[in-house]
Amino acid sequence: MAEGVSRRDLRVDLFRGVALWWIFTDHIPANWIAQFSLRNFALCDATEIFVLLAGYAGGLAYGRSMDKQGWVYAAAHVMRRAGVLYVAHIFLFVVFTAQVSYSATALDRSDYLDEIHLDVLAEAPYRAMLEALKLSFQPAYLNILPMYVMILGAFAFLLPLLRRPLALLGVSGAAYAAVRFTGVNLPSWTGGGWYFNPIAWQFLFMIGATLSYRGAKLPVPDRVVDAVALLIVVTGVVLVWIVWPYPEIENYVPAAAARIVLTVDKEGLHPMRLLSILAWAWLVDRLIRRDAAWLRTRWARPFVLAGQHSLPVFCSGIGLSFMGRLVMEEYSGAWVQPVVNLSGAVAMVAVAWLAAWYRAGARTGKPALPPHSQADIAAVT
Amino acid sequence: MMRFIALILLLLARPGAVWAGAMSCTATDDAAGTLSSLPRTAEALKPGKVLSVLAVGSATMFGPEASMDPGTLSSQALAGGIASVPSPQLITKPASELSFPMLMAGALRQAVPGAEVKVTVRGGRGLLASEMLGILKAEVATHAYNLVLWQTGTVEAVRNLPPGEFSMTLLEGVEAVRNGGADLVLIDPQFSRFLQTNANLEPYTQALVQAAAMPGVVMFHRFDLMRNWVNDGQLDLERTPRADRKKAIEFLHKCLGQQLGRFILDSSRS
Repeated sequence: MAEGVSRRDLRVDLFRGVALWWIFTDHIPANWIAQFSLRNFALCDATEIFVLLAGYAGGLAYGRSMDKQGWVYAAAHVMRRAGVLYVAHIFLFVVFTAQVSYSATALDRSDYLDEIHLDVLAEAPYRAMLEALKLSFQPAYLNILPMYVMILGAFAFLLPLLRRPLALLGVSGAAYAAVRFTGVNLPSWTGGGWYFNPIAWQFLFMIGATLSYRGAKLPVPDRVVDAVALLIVVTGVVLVWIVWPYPEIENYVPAAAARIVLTVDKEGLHPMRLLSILAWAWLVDRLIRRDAAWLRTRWARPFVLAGQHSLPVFCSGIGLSFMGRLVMEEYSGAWVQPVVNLSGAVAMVAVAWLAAWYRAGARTGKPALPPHSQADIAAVT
Repeated sequence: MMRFIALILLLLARPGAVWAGAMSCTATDDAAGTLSSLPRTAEALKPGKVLSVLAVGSATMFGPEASMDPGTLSSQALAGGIASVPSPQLITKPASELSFPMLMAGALRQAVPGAEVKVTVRGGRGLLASEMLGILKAEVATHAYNLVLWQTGTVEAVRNLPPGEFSMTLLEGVEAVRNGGADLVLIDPQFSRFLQTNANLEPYTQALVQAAAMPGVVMFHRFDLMRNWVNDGQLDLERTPRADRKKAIEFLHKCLGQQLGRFILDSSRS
């Protein structure tokens, strides 16, 4: 892996960009185009790609920072990033409250629905603020960033273990196993635990970080891994295309098997979801060459650019999906979906483009879009 | 064998096409539930017999009045001192005759002359599925119901609770109902633009659909049904002026009662 570090792996950027776009489309209910995102043909979805690749990019950037400037410096770097994400989350929370109050007013919110009594924001607004700051109140569609903040917080401390990948995966895997066996989760004010349990999801991040920092050599031949990965991916497709949309089919399989299939939870990163994302990542790595020419074409460029500036693109994507939902709440014409999706995608790419332009300017004093091959490796998170 | 062929045909269709058929309050073509069945309901819904139904759910199960009742929570919030999320409120009054479970019973009696249908409604405002599960278990343990209606998922979606736990609760409920010798009809949240915009319903609906895969369980797609009524311009509560809302809600209960009755008939015949 060491010789590869000098040249950025554009596949990572590309798929981060694609995941960010899918997160945007999936965050708009009844969105036509969302039926083509990963969750429609795999057991995992864009969240898994996002976390795995965040770990991959983090292992590379912060691992390198640790090698050069030491653990404390690199950890401070990670914590600063976590702080930025925390502030971004709080900003998005404010956007959320504005959206709820807007749609409540605009719709002359009727009193016939049960949910008016369930809206904690309206019932206990001051308390909700406090709980939001503690990350223990996470409204719908605002749960990825809190998880990511917690994972980065843990990563700052675990950084030195990057040099001892087995120890890192052992500690991280033990925490994951604890979630799977005991159901331990961080508390949520509205009951239950976190929507994405960071104690479980950190495992995927650490796997990504381990892979990028040292690279991995599996003790089995690649062909065997190919076959296993393919089997996992095909199983996922069968479950998602056949069993879940037509659950009647489970009348024909044993109840115990049906039960396993029905309880693939997302909050605790069910092992089937974990295997699914790892299998997909493996196959993509095998099928798409690192130096594939099309990664540098103009078609790949918007996604690559978005992936290279994932923080502003993620935040604006979530903000844009709020707006998209509002538009789709107000209007129902045929134009709504194309307009929302297209303007959202264009805006996300514009944000990425601006971020790239600005960052180049900050470095050289002269803003310009960097060519692909020279993109800044430290800019990965 | 016919069921299996029907299943294969369904598999050839695109996902999502199953429930997209033109459903409306007046026209009642409805493909839902043709593959699953309600054997215990079919057994009890006969002339001279009694179909005993338990309905567990939120305030909407109790009728138009209960749906509109603002409850006491808002005044508590104004008085200050709310330290936690709104607490659930059990409703102890019997359900109104204008509620959709009662109207469903009427539709069933009409369709099967001579059959008696008894409905007991339990639940309340803001109850979680896990809280309803307690009620449900206690009821099926002490009474001999043939059919259970369970309406849930809204509170979980609004509070963004972990969908996996919701799924487990549903499966536990499915087991309790089956052990109690009854069939189960799961009912998903109502359609509302506000709800759709501000809560992520999808994972909870998926959990309901999946739980409805168990034998003796079917799902009544209230959300899709109501969305179709809105899109057809038949019934749109959120765009109904305040003055007409009471009438509109009564109409909604009537429509839901009819459709649910029809759905149960279809499901118990197949």
